[in-house]
Order: sequence, then C-alpha cells, then structure tokens
Amino acid sequence: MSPSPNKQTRAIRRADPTGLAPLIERLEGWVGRTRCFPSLEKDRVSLDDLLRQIKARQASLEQPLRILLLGGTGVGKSTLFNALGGADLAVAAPVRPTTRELTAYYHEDNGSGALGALEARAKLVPHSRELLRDKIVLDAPDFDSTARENRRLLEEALEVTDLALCVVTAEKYLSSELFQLLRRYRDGIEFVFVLNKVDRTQDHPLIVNDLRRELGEHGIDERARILPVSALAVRKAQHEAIEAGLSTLEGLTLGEEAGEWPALRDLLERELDKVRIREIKAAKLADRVKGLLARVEAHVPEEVPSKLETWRQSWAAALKDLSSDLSGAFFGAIHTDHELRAVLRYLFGTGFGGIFGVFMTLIYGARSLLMPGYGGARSFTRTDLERLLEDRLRGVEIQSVERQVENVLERFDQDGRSLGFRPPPRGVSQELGASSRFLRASVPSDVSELVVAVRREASKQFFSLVEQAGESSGQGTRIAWNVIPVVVVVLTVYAFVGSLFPTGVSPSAIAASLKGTVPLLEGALISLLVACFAQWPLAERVLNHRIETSLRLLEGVVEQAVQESLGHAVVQEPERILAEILDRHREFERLREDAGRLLSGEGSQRVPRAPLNAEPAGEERDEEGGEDDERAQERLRA
Amino acid sequence: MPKPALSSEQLARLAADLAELSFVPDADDDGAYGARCAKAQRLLEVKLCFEAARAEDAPPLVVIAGGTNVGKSTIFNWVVGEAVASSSPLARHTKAPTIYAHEQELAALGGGVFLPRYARLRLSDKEDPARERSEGAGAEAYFLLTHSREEVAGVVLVDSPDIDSTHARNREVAEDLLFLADAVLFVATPEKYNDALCVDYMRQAVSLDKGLVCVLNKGADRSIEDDLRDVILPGLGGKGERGLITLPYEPKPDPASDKAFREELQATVLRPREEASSLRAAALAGAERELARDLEQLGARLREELAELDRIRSEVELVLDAGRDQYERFLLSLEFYELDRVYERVLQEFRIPVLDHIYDGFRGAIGFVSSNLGRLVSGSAAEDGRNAKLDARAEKDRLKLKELIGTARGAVLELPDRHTQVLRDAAAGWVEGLGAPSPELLNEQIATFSKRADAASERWIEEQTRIHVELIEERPQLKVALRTVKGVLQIGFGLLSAKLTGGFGPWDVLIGSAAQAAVKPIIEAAGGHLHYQKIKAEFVSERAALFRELLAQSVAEPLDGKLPPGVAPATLERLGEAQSALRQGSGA
Repeated sequence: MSPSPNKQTRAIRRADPTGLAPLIERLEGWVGRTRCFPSLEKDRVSLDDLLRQIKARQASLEQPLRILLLGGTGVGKSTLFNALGGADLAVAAPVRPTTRELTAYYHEDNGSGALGALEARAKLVPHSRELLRDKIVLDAPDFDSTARENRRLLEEALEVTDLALCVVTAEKYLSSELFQLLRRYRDGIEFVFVLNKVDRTQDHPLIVNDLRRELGEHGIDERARILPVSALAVRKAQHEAIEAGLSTLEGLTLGEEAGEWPALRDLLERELDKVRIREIKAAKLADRVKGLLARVEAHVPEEVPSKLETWRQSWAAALKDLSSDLSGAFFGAIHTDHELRAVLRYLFGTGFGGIFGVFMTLIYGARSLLMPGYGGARSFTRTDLERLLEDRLRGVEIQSVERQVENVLERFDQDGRSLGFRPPPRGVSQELGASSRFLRASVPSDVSELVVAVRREASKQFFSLVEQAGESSGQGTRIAWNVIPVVVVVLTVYAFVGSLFPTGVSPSAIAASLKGTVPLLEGALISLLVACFAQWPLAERVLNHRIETSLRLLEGVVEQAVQESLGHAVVQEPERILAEILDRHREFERLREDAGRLLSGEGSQRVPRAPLNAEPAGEERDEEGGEDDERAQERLRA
Repeated sequence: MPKPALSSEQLARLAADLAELSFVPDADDDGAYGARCAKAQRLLEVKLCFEAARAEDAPPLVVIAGGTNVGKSTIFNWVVGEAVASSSPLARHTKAPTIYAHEQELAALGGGVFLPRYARLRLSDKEDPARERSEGAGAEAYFLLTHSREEVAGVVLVDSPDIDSTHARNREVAEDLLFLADAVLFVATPEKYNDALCVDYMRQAVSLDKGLVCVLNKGADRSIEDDLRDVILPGLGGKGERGLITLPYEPKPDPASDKAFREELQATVLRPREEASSLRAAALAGAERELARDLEQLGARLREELAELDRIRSEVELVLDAGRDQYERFLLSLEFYELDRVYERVLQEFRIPVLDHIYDGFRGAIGFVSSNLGRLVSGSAAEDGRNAKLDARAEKDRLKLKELIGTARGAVLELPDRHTQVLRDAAAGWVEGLGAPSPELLNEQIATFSKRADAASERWIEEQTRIHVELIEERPQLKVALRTVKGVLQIGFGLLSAKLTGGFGPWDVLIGSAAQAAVKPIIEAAGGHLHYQKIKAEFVSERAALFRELLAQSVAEPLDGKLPPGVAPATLERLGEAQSALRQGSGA
C-alpha cells in the first residue's frame, strides 16, 4: 500500500488537517529512543501499540467513519445491524453467543479498505445508500460469553473503530465487562449508547438516567447520547413492509415500541456528515495523543535533573576514590622501595660537578662499598632504572585493578538503578546478558591496557624526571656548590703566587720560597676538606629534597597516566550516559510543552471536543470562551 | 448429619492463622495468592464456622442468585408468595441480601447469625426502603426477615445480589452467599444464560457440591432450553442432577398472581426440605474439600517463598564466605611480619645479663649519635625500613579489602538474576534499594576494621610470645643454646662493627637481623616448620573472620533488613494439619 515510509510521511503531511503530525512524529521518535526509564520500558509494548494505533488513525483521517456495534451477548447487536441495513445481513438467533464473526456494511464506492487487516476476516456486505456513504458499520461478536475467542476478535475490531454504538439492555447495561472496555477505549472511540429491547420494559427513562450516572462514575462523558430503541420492533415493521411490498427503508411507520429509532437513523444518516466525521476523527486522534502523552508522562520520573546531579556527584566521588586508590597502589610500590631510594641517592650524590663533585663521588663510592642497597648503584644505567621501576610496578596486579574498576562501574550502575533509571539495552553486537547494565564488556581489556600504559609511561618518564630533578639545580647551583672549594683553591694559589713576589722572580728565589709552600698546601688541602665536609650535610639535605621532588613528579606522572588510561569505558561512557538521559528528559519537557500548546491552546478551534454530546455544546463553548479570555489576559500580562 | 472435620477451636485457630498470613509483596503473583487467602478465610468463616454453630436439624439454605436484572427478587417473591424483597427495573437493585427464615427455626441456625463481619439488619417491616438505603449502603449488611408461614418453613431462602454488575462488592457478597448456601437456585435469562460470569458462577457452585437448580426466566424458545440442558449444565463438570425450570415472560410480575409455573417453582425451591441432611452434608464436604485445596495451594506457595528466602540468605552467606576465603588467600600470600615480631620479643625475653647491658648501652650510644647524625646529614630521621614495609603492606591490604567488598556487593546484586522463581521481582527490588555506601563511608569502615584487626594482631603477638617463652622455658638446653648463639653473635658482630667503622653506620640493625636470622631457625626447630605454617594459618583465619564481619556489616546487613521474614514454620505446619484433616473429613 505504501511504497516507502518517506512517501507515506509526506502523504500524511499533505493530509494533516489536525496539525498533529509533527507532534506525533516527535513523540514516536522520543518513545523509540528513550530507554532509560524503567516504568516506561515495562509499558513499552502497549506504548508501541498505542503509537501504532495513533499512526493508523492518522492515516485513516480521510477514510470512512468506522462504526462498530459493541455489546454483550444477546443484547441484539445483530438485530440492530439488520434493522440498520433493512435486511437479514447477519444471523440473529436466540442461542448465545450467535455472532462469531465480523460483518461489514459499507458503501460499494468506498470499499472496505479502511478496515485494514481485518478486511480479510470480515463478511463484506456492500450497499449503495447515499446517506451511509462515508460510514462502515460493523457487526461484532460479544465480549462476555463463554466463547473467549470472540473477545479477541472484538478487541481487534475496536482498534480500528472510530465510533462505537454500545448496545445495552435492561439486563446488561451495568455489565462490568462492558465498563472495562469503555474505560479502556474511552480516549480513542466516540460512544453512542443504544438501549435496546425497550419494548420489554416500561421504565426506560429510569434506566437511561441510571446508566448516565454510572458512566459519570467511570469517567466517561455523561453527556454521551443514549437512544432507547427496539430493534426487534423495527425488524418486525420492516418485514411487514416487505410483505406489503414497500421499500423497507423509507416511509416506514413505526409504533411507539420502536423507541427513538428515527433519531438513531437520523444520527447515522444525516448528522454524521463529512464535516462531523472529520471532526470526530480529529477529536479522537487528539484524545489519543493526549492519552499517550499522559501515559508517557506518568512513566517519566520526577526531578530527573536533580537525580542526575546526585548520580553524577556520587560517580565523581567514586571515580576520585578509584583514581587515588590506583595511583596509590602504583605509587605505593615505588614509594616504600629502599633500593630505588638508594639508587637515586647515589645517582644524585655523584651528580655534583667540580671539586665538590669529586668529593661526593668519593664519599658515595665508599658508601657503596660498605652499605647495603648502594651496591649496584655504581654501575646503574637508564635501562636498569627502567627495569627496576617496571619490576616494582608489576607488583600491582592487573586482576586486582580490574576488579576495582569493575566495582566502581558496578557502583555507577547501581546508583543509577536505585535512582530509578534503567540501562539502555546494548546494540546488537553486544552480548545479550549485558542489557541490565549501563556499562560493560570492554572494561577488562581496557584495564590491562591501563596497567601496561601506566607502567610504560612511568618508567619512560622516570629517567628524564630524574635527570630533570638533577638538572633543576643547573649550572648556577653547580657553581654555587663549588664556590667555597674554589675560593680555597684560589686563595691558596694567590698565597702561593704572592709568596713568590717579595723575593723577586729569580729561579733561586722561587726554589727558596717553594720550601715554605709545603705547609701551605697541607693547610689548603685540609681547608678544602673542611669546606667539603661542612657542605656535605647541606648537600645531603638537598639530595633528599631532590629525591622527594623526583618521587613527587613520578607520582604526578603515575596519576596522570592512571587518569588518562582510565579512558573510554571508565570515564567517558558514564558521562555520555548521564548526558544522554538528561538530553532525553529535556527533549520530553519540550515535547510536553509543545503538545500542551497544540492540544489545549491554539489547536482547540481545529480540534473540537466531544462532538456527539446529547446536549448542544453551548455550555462547553462558554467554557472555551472563558479559557480564551484567560489566555488573552495571560498574553496581556506577558 | 455430617460432622465437620475440624472442631470449633481448630476453626478459630485456622481463621487466626489465615488472617495473619501475608505474602511477600511485589512477588509476581502475590495479588492472586492474597485473593486466594482472603477467599479461604471467607469460606472458613462463612461456611465452616456457620456449620459448626448450626444445629443438626436446622433447615437448609437456598440461595437465589443470578446476573443483574434477571429477576432474582421477583422469583424470590413468587416463591415466598408475597412481596418481600423489593424488585425494580433498575439493575443491581438488590444491594444487601435478604435472608428469609421461619422464626421458630432461627434458634437452630446459630441464633440467626449468618454472615460474620456483616451487619445484621432486622427488617420486620418490609416496607422500609429508606432504612435499607441508610443502613445498607455503608458496610456490608444483610436483612434478616423472620416469618411464621408454615408453607415456606423448613427452608431458609436467601436473595442474593447480582454477580455481574460493575459493583465489585456485590460480587463479593454473592460469593459469600454461595459459600453459605446448601443449594443454589440460579436464575438465567435468554440473554444471559451463556455469559462467562454466569457460567463461572454455576461452575463454582457445582465444584462446591451445592445442589443446583437453574431457572430460565423471561421465557425462551426450545433451542435455548436445549442448549442449557444439553450443553451448558452438563459442561459444568462434577456430578449430581441439575434441575431446569423455564418461566414465561411476565411484563408485570406480581407475586400474588396465581400461575401454574409458580407452584412448580415453589415445589422445586422447597424440595431441599426433604433432602436437607444429604444436601447439607454434600455442601459441607464440598466446602471442606475446597478449603483443603486452597490451603494446599497457599501452603505450597508459602513453602516456596520460605525456601527462596532461605536460599537468598544462604547465598548471601556463600558470598560472604567466598569473600573471606579470597581475603585469607591474599593474606597468606603476604609476608608474615607478625611472626618476626614474636621472635624479636622472644629474643628480648632471653637476656644475657652483663653482655646485654653492655650491648644495650653501646647500641643506645650508637643509636643516639647515628640518628642525630643521620638527621643532620639527610634532613630527616632515617626511615625505618620495616615500618615502610609495614605501611606498604597495610596499603595493599586496604586496597584489597575495598576491592573484595565491592566484589561481594556485585555478587549480591546479581542474586536476583539467578532467581527465576516467584520472588524474582521482589528480590530485584530489595537489591536495588541497597545503595552503595559513599567512598568516604567505605574508607571509614575499612579504617575501623584495620584498627580492630591491628589490635587483634597485637594481642595475638603477645599471646604467641607468651606461648613461645613458656615453650623455651620448658627446655633448658634450648634456652642455653639460644643464649650462647645470641651472645656469640652479638659479641662477634659488635667487635667486627667496632673494628670496621669505629662505631659509625647503622650496624646495630645488621647485628639485630643477623642474630635474628640465626636464632629464628633454632626457635623454628623447637616448633617445626609445619607448626609455623599452622600458626600463620590460624592468624590469617582470625583476621579473615574479622573481615567477614566487616563484609556482613557492609553488604549483608542492608539486604537482611529488607528481607521479609516469611511465614512462621509453626503456622505452616498448622495449615498442613488443617488441610489433611479437612481432606479426610471431606472423604476425598
């Protein structure tokens, strides 16, 4: 029927007298994409069903009005149907239930295509009555007999019904099953009530009132039209007319007992004209959209943004905790390691240049001979350091990190669920079992990558960090450390040279004064040593500081590496989910606002309400007028 | 006359038990079982308790039932021959049922108390519709109408409200009356005779072994009568005869009208007089059988519920045990510093009088100098290597604890996924409400646990030290050997240290560890390697047990608080007993 959905949409737009098409499309899109609210998800099947119905109804706006005879078994639906048709179209018999199939009474020009899939299952009775041109009347089976399969057929038929002629009798007008159906379909179907078999009761006004009261109690429009008739009496009159050779439909004289049969006929033939039909269809479509919107609204939890904020905060706290735990685990392995510290101390200690450097190298050389932990430090290279570090970091088990990450993700899931959100089902490529979680699947591989990345990053950067820490002193400090030793040396040289001049520069004089320089050199050596020893504690202090600095730098590197490597699944994915849920909610708020405006505001002229009331709609118009005034005042205020 | 299977005390007990029963909310079928429970309760109160109070020669109860507006009250009036029940063209006119009994037979009917929990309105004057509206509209009530007309004596007639209207309460009252009845006069019409609700009602009457007569009111043609007689009535199942009377359509029903069908109707309705005891026996047995069936299903469901609650609890326990085992394995893989501390203390216990004093003084001096020098040289007090190791171990321990708690929580969260039984939905609800503690809270819990565990290991170290000291005291030669080795080591290393460094450097640590290393095998030899493995295992399991407590506090307790208690086993047993007694009594 429809070659492509696109074409279909365009066709709907072209024929969109209600102006609801964009709203319906948006609503459909929203329901289709939103999978984070659990109660919505639970109701998804029926929501999808409703949407499907709404779309079907939207497509059938220009099709004939589908009128269904709705009633319990034995109320005389088929008799009424026959009376409407003026012939024995459907079987009417005393044994219950009689009717087990659909009979469609339709105009031969229009065909019965408006019934959709049901067309194939209905008995088709075409006619050529001009007054019933735009209507299809359906005789349906009952809903309350022991034949349960009837009910299914009826429900299918109700899906495509625009107007239901609810046939009741004095015995069945309060049937609980009828009222269940009425409540269920009150949004989508216009009801007209026919109190049949009035020839067997004298008190039908009483019953009409009682029925009206009951309708009110069940939230169905009390002003719905209730027509007392006797279909059997009409049929009798029709039979008599046929026997008398008259046309059965026109000019039939009916007795008192036929009730308001003419009114019913008038309703079906004249009152339900093209305009009225369109009004009914549009109103019912709007009602359905409203109903769907209300359903969806009930499923969207309150205060989504604040809940999401709570969720985000708790997630941020958990993530911070995790990242500090992880870097603690990585760094703890380095921090408490004495060998590493000793190596660093050696490397830094022998890194001083100049005279002081020679002194420190001697000291650390001696230390490395005597003290444990310094042993391997003398021949330590960059690769050795990297290996050592990697070895220490290997103490952090991948499995353990994996479990920690998993726990944090689990926590995220659980927080979400306890706040009333539901994980969206995964794409087809994902495993089926994962649908109850927000995050999953890729985590373990990410974690081993994380550990490896942290290891690699830390060891790669460590040596340069060490160098950086060593060089942070720079040329200036290197000179500063050597100032005193150099001064001592310069002073010695000066004294040495100065001691030469008073006696002239003759070789013999130099030789003579050189004798006195031996104690001078001894003194110089001692003062050099004293200077170096005096500087040593200070140098140790500085070394310690450098070690701490480089370890802190390493800690920073580890932390950064951890944070970077926590990566996609651990950081980005939850953020994405939070943002998506917020997005969905915002979209819904907008949708609701627009729908509210369209359905109750400007749309009210185009979408009339309850067109088939018993009383003239004057009252209602007044109300609407009042509403209009209010709106106008609001606009003024704005 | 049949004897009820249960005595009145048993009935009272059973009623109390049923009233206390509750099903786990949110389980997938708790509504259905709640309804079944309420039904069993009503059946018990309405029929069995009533039967216990009814005298043996009391007249049977005939209930006139049917759908809305089929003319129940009209038929009632025809049977009694006067306009007792008010009939009207409006549907569900009869709200409160009318019980029509002979005044002299009332005493035999439990003093005229028919329906417990219903208000009894005495309607001596039938022309009092105002009263009906004012008193009968609120709580459930019935009218007791006494008469002194011998022609309708010997049978109690009850006019029931409809069974198919929108008023759910009417239907409940109708069901109560069905329970109460000994025989049922079911009124059908050509329009309603095959309505699902009506046929279901008749089926229930048959399954309860009530005598059933079907009245086809408002006339009908042969095909309906045949359908009813040949298809529907036999299709109800059960055994026994079901009468069928057809009444013609009366546009203006008049109870005083003298029609032939009225006599047939009256005769049929009053027939239970003759077969009162067999009718009553059958109805009682039917009710008992039904109640037994209900009790069986309730009991089965409750047992299932209880078993599942137990299973959840035991699975949580399993999760806790798994957590504990994992932690135990983890601890076993760690170094056992605590034992070293035991050795240290044991060594301190065996002082070599002069040598130790000298050594202590020497060590003290060196310690003072070296620590001050070290502080001067390195800018901070030299870090104790062992403390650093202990810190590292503590941190590792903390992370492991956190991880294990998280894993256990995850396992508990997955519990409902493993349940496909009735409690699945409810279990998901309990688990979802658990809520993970915030990281701060978790850290605090773990810190508290660490403090407790450390205190416990301190106690353990003291205890072990005492045991070891006692053990060595018992063996003098071991003590001597220990002292000798210690002395030799201390002197030897002390001399060496002095010679090499002149007292510089932290040699005392080396001496201490060397002495320990040498003495440790001696102590180990005293107890044996396996002994120390055992000691370690003991220590670890003690700590693991503490961890299990933490796990229980953090994971299991929140869930435990949400688990419903389930049915008491004693109640379940009593229900089972009542069920078998009823089953025997009803002869099934």
